[in-house]
This record gives sequence, C-alpha cells and structure tokens, in this order.
Amino acid sequence: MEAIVNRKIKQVMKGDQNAFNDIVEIYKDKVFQICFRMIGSRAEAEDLAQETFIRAYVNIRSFKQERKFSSWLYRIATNLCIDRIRKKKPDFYLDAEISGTEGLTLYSTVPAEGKLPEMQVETLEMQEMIQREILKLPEKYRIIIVLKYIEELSLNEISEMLDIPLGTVKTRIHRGREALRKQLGKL
Amino acid sequence: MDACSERMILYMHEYLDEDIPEDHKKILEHHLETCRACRQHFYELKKSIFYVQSLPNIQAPPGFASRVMDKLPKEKKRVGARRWVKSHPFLVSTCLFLILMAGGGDFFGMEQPERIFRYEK
Repeated sequence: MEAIVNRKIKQVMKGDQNAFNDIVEIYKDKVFQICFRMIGSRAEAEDLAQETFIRAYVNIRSFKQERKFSSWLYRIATNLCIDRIRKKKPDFYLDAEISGTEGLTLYSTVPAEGKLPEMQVETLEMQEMIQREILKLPEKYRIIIVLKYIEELSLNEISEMLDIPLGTVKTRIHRGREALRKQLGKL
Repeated sequence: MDACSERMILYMHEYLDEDIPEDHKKILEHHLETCRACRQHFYELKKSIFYVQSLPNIQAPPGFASRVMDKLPKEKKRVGARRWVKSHPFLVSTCLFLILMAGGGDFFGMEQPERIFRYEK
C-alpha cells in the first residue's frame, strides 16, 4: 500500500493530476471521518476534507517520502479543523450540538436486521450523544481522542504526526478520557 | 466516587495506554480488588472508550473525489501528453512506424516527427 501511494505521489510531483485522483480515493473516507468527528457537521466536514486535499496537492513538494503520507495528510486535516474550531469559538457549543445531531442522523449505521424499532432509535440517540460529548472536549484533547479511538492510531504515531512529545500526548489523552468519563461513564 | 488517589488513576491511564510497568500493574490490580470506588472509576473509563469506539465508520459523500479534482489548479499540457503516450504505447509506435514508412528515409530532417520524438523522452 505504502509503495503504491509513494509511486502515485511521484507521479503527482511530476504534475500528473490523474494520479492525485487515486490518492483522494484512497484517503477520502479517513480524512472525511477525522473532519466530521472533530467538527460534527457533514457540510463543514466536506468543506474541510476538500481543503485538506487541495492543500496537499498544492504543497506536495514539501512532503518528504521517508515520512508516512497518511500522517502528513492527517496533519493538514487536523490543523484545518483546529483553525476552524478556534474561529467559531464564541458560539461553538450551541452550534456543535445542532450540527452534530444533523450530521449523525445522516450517517448513522443501518441497524442489524430483526432489531426492534425502539432499539434503533436508542442506538441513534446514543451515537448522537457520544458525538456531542466528543465535541465538548477542548480541541487539543479532542484531536487525540479522535485519532486514537476512531482512527486507531498509536500514541507514538499521534506524537510524531502532531509533532508533540509523547508525554504531552499521554497527558492529553488522560484528560480527554477523564472528561468523557464524567459524561459517558454514568450512562 | 472521585475520591480515589491520584496515583491509582494515573496507573489506570497507564494501563489503558498499554504502557504500564509490571509493578504498577500489580499495585493497581491489588488495589482494584479492595477499593470499590476505584473499580467504578476504572469501569467508567473503559466504558467511555468503548462508546467512542462503537461509533460507526463514516464515509465521504458520493462524488467527493471529483469535486476535489474540479477545484485543483489545472495541470500542464505536457504532462497530459506524456501520460497519453505512456498509456497508449502500441498506438504511438504504430503511428510512428506508419509515418516513417510513408515518409521514407529523409523524414528525419522534417519538423513534425521531431516533435513526436520529444514526447517519447
């Protein structure tokens, strides 16, 4: 996989846009997911994910091949998300709640067959609730919780990717977990 | 409920990070057997993680890639031509062959085939 991606990137560096289309296809779901979980709205997540790929394309020459492309790409995505969150801070909580609910309804999983309708609603409500709690986390904790528990990256990978010492990543994930526990732990 | 010692909570997080020294692990396990409040705290932490992990995977909306591609700055024409030559090697060599056959020996002195050769580099 890494080898295919690196070959595609070389083609992109030579100016081949078709090769970049393949890159977008490979990473679009991951990037979109990071943005959606960070921001809570489908429309904004699309906007941010698109911007991520456009920036990656324009700055492709600054990507060093000895690094992992996915880390480089996710770093762009998370930076854009954090910028966006900081910009809209004043009305953030109220806003997040509304947009989070709307996005989740569209994206919730189809429940397994044979489940009672009541259970489906419950599951959806749970998903919305969990997303809302993630959105309440301060962004520096939120980003690490999302990368660790949704993207399933290791703490080392997160530390390298965000260029933050491992000790700081640990402190932040601990605080993030404690904050989530206060809300989700009592359910 | 939150009265557990700072140290035990730190060990819980070390455990959850799968980076807990053996001696911390022993102390934590022993403590959890005896302290109900800490057991509850640990359970709530694990439950919260479970909830976050249980969120469904999300996919980019349909047509996402083409919307991105539409917004990219346009590529140089030269690259498009090179890609075309690469993806149609047989067609290119056939054309070349036909041109050379038709043109005969002194074709090399003319302008047009030279341009074709430049694409091949």
